[in-house]
Amino acid sequence: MGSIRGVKKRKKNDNKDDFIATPLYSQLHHPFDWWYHFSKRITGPLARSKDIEKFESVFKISRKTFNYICSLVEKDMLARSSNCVDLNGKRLSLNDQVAIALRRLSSGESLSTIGDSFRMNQSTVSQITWRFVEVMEERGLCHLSWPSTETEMEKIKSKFENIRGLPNCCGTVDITHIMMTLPTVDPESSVWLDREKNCSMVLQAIVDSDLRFRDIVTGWPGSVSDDHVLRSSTFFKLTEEGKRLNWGKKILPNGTMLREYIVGDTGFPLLPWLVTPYEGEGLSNVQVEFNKRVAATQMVAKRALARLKEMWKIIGGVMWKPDKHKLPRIILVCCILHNIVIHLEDDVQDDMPLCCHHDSGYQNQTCEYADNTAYTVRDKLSLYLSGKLST
Amino acid sequence: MICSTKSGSNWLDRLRFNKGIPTDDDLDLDSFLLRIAAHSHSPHTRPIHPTNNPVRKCPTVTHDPPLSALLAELFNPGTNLTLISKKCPRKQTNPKIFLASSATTSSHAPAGGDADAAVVVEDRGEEGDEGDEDLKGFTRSEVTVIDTSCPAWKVDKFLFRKNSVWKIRERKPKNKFFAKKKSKTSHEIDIHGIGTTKDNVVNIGGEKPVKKLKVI
Repeated sequence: MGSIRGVKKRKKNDNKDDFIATPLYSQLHHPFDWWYHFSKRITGPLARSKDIEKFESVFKISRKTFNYICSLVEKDMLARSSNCVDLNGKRLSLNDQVAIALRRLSSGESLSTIGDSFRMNQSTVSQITWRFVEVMEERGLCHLSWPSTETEMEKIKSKFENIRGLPNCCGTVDITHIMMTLPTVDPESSVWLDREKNCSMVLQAIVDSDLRFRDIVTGWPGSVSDDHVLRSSTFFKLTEEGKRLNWGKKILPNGTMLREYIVGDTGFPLLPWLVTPYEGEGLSNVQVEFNKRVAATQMVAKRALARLKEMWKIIGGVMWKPDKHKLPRIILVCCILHNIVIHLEDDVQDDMPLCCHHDSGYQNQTCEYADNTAYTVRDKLSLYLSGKLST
Repeated sequence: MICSTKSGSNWLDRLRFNKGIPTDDDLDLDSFLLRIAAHSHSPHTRPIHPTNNPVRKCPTVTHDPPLSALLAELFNPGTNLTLISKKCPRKQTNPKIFLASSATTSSHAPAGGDADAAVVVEDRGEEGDEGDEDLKGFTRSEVTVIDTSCPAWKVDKFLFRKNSVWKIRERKPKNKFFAKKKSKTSHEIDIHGIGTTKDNVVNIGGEKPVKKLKVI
């Protein structure tokens, strides 16, 4: 009973310290604020870094987003909370724990470095981070879902059309590789070797016009092709069954019905609901122009993945001998956190570079499969976009 | 166990027997040495057939069996000397650095842009269903696949791979009782996952956590 009372008391104190809607710099440095005290406890190279007193410089998210994440995981984190203490024996509050987990995920620093920075044992850092991942994947999954209403989808389509004119486009799909090193004696190593000779895990993401992840598939080894990852996904199954991308149809001037679709690169098959660029030499001007539009639209997915890796560096670098069952869950949580930052319109997004290189050193794959109907629709769409589709 | 077929003889007799030396007590040493010089190899000392392994060649045995094999035979009279001698050294004689290219070459993994066409993927059922006999010669990998469009968004799968042929089986979910029991055991939670167990308890729609985290 005693420990439960203690938890309640700390919870109350945490709530009292929170500044939910007032992320002003002066208030953050108020002596009653949690961050004021937490930042004083930081040691080592991180403490000497520039702008250390600035919350965003340490966690890459605003205080508003941080507070929201705390509220999201509060119940479960406290329920699962064991005696997490720092090296001085001081019990760690919810804010402390979320801060440590976010620092681990965003910086990608080792457990020992994080432990040194926040004066705690590296096993405590590991324990807190994993607990946070487990809670976030349950509580935060609502932030990563396919649009549930037609109205929501219409907004997405409108934004995509504004990019380079593609009508009725609902998303863009791309694949990236989460790099890792594996023991050379591991007989499974060759399975994880991708075509660029790196050990990696695949992440396939379907992204909307606001760089939000709407559907992800991860966990497949790097040697699995883009095509297979797509075909094995539930998104593929649902769409083939007519349960996805089945809302508004657009009728082109010549009467051609254009269903909802997503765009992808040449590594994906050309399907009635998946538009890919023209390939080969000797393309017509119409086809070249079409490819430019598709590439510009697909850039949205590339930017989203680049930002994901840039912001959550734990999956941006090369992970050292990760547990291959835990890594997909870490990837999922990073994607959820990426979406939360967008949902809350966090200002940190403005400072992020609009880079589109998320898989440097990887060349586009080529999938030769193409659906005959999709050929026709793509031709008509390209003609429509060039203004040459006869009525 | 140690004394089976030749339990009646002592170790010296067995040593002599293996070396082709007569075990009689009235051994004529001079005549024996002359005989050895004439026939440099007795049938007992050459039961070894060099292997023809093109990938990893074992050192060809041309002389007497190594001492380790001899001692093994000495203390395990029932075992076959041939099997022991065929064993390759645990370490490579000329260690090679693990290169991605060598691994890919041996496994015939797709390397080119159009190599995917050769990949055959078969995705069916759960592990333990029919057709498991077909999986002989396949290497098995266990993966956790997350698919957010699927209601059960986290699924453990077995990947069976043989050259360019892949077979995918879903891992049978553990029963709840076992999962809970398992969760009470100590659970490594190092996020790096170094040396962690492969068993991944899937929380199937469980509202409450079933894992009791504990740092070892």
